[in-house]
Amino acid sequence: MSTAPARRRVVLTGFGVISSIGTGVEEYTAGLRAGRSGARPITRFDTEGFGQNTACEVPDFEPGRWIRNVPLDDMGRAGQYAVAAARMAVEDAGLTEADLGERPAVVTVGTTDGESHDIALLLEQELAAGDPEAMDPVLSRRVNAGRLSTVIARELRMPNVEATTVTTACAAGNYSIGYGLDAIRTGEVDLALCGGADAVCRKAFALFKRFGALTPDVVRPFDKDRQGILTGEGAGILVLESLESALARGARIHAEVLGYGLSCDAAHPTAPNRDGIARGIRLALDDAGVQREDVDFISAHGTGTKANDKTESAAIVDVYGDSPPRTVAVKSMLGHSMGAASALGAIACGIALEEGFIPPTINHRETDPDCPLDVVPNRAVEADVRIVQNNSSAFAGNNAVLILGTYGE
Amino acid sequence: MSTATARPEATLPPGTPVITGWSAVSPYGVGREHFAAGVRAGAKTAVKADAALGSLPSSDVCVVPGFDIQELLGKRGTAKMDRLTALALVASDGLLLDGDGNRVVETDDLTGVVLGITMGSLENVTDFLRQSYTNERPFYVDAGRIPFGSLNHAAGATAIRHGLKGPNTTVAGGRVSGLLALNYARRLMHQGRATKYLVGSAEEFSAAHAWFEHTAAAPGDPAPLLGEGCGLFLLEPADTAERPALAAVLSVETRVDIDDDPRAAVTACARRALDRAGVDAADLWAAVPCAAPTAAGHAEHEALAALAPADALSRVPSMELLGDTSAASASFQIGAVLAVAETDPGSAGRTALVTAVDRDGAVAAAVLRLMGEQR
Amino acid sequence: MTTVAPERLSRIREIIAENIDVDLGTLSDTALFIDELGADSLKLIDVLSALEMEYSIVIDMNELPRMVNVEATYQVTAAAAGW
Repeated sequence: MSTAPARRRVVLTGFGVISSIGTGVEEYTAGLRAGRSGARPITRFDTEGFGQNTACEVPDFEPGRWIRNVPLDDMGRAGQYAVAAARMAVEDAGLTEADLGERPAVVTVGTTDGESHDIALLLEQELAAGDPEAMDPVLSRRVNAGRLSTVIARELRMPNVEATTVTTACAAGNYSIGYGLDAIRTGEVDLALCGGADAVCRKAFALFKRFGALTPDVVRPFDKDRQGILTGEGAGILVLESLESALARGARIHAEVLGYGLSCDAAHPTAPNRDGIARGIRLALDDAGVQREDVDFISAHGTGTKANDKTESAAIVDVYGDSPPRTVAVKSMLGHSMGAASALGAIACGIALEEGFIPPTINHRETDPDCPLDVVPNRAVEADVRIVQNNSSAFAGNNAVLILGTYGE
Repeated sequence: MSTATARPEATLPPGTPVITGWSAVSPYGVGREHFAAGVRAGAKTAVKADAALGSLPSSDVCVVPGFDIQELLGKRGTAKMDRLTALALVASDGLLLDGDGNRVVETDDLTGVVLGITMGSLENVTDFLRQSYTNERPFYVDAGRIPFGSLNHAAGATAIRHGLKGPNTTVAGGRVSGLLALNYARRLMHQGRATKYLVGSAEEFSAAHAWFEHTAAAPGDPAPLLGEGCGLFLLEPADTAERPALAAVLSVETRVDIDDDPRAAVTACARRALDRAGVDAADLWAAVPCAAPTAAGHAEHEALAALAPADALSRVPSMELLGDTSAASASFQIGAVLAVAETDPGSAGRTALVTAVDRDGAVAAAVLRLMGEQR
Repeated sequence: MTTVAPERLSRIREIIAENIDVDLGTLSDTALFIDELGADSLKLIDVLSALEMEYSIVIDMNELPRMVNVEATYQVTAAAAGW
């Protein structure tokens, strides 16, 4: 670009995880290493008539453990996940409310459906009463997606922030992390809380059911017999910090954010696009200053649908040639947690860098010849991991690719 | 009071984002000219709602007159299109095309789109769920309408319509979303991720939206008069801009009201935006609040009244005339500043403050310098 | 092969035209949706779901590849509906 701005280095110093395979970094790490499945019967809404009732719900979520300052009724399920993960992330980073306070920061939460579960509840109230006046104001006040990020600022008592909810659907987590990276790189802030959140809801379930994209059994990304996704939920929030700030306070550094790329297919509202994904990957590698051969593994978008996995594999081969890095799909374990997906993927990448293992693609039997990848089937492998790529794509042709690396002096 | 500089663009640091074009689809009508004329006349837009909108909590609405999607966008691909997407597409045509439909703005693979919204097309989402609840089977839903229910669809559809492959983003923040989008575009352009941006925000009116807003209104607040529309801008770095700058974006600042004190939050945010821009509040040519019909909206007005000169606060007619346009509002405020400035030569080189407050606690402020270009 | 009921065929033709965005007047019973009429697989899901709702039936998604034109779509629908 014409005016290459000075770039500050940006590191990850805190992770907060609410997921169907484990809450908190420790449990999430154990889940990734063991290849745990988050699939279970749906409890959130009535699935009668769908002929299916499996999703990757978060079991035993206790919002009160994490949310102390804002009344729980002020947010829906997705907001509670976002706030809980944010609280967990700042605690993991060793930041107290006194450290935060008036400190300028960016808070970005990505989402696909926001509080669409509440929208469904409001509609149920209307239908039951035959009158929209029956809708509960407590719910109708909290349905707007902007709240997912402002409520974090309120809970953590951080007024001096830019709270932006990024609604780029299933790529939103990576978008959010990228925005935090840019805000710190420019020197405008030293701190960003970024990630994504979504909650299992009837909207997503009915939508993927209608598209024939819900698997009748388990999620098998890149498998020749894959039949689709399971909807999922959770939140992943990452603390991004300028390297100077992290070093100055002696923070533990999980990983470094090396770069990201955004591309738009400008082609089809729902179909994945090989060229668009490949362009996103190339932009990310360029931004990170990383050579293809240095990427140790790819955490794929890997939804488990016929179309995504085939198209994404082709795009990976377009960029990497015939021997691409190992490519895993954490959605085999987590289902598709929508706006949280790439944030949880990014945290999985950070954990892999720190702990030296590559999480598996579970439920795998036989790799599809159209997906010529080593998907690390079923069992995690120990590996010296230094640079990782985290893919995401969304309806509307939005692709976001993130590159993380181990932090070295 | 400082005097206006003769050539304001000469004073801009390179890379300063400048607005080089704009477009609006609003309760004043389709197109920038209708918007500008309506704003300058201070015309009211509220009308009695068409019966086709269904049962509504309030009979008065501020909708885009004559907004027939298929007439404006053609029949192909529009039969099941949501209103929000259509508003954004029509606005994007107004920005990129001339009256004959010819492209007049160059774009490349790094031309980005960022659109501010509240919750997408609530009509699409509630219709979808209503079908799921009331039809014979819960998956008996109109599949052809599903893509339009994605919160990022309007921005993605804009990219598809005009072949824009750069960063494509949707940000949600209700009334502040237009300023969040502006800041997003500013930051990504600064990082070289985009060469230019279509940036703006949009809201659709629907019965679903009206009932949600009606039930959400705080006790004591009146039933909201709702508006709709889309404001879009072409944003480019000053040093590479291909068209004359209408205004420079000197600063965008944001804050969250964590203490339920919107007046203090707006004051702090506006002061910071002015500081960042190097502008003295006493020198403002215009100060434009979002004028939300809520306690927060009144607090915003009080904050600006205490900060800005009275003539700045009355320079641009109140946004109340358009109804509460939610996500569209901040873009309409900027459009209104440009509309009034373009017929006032005294605006050249002067500055404008635009602020917004949202129910979810977000506050934002932007400072613009008017460049004296006549469209 | 089921015997074609003309009024049903005519309704199915309407549903298809509406959902793959083509002019009903120009829609022949043998024109291929994807190769000749520019539809994509998503549009075929729109057709399938509209047919399900119209006739209160469930069509297996695996039948989608067989729904290549009006004629074949009629047969798939007829089989699902037990006509």
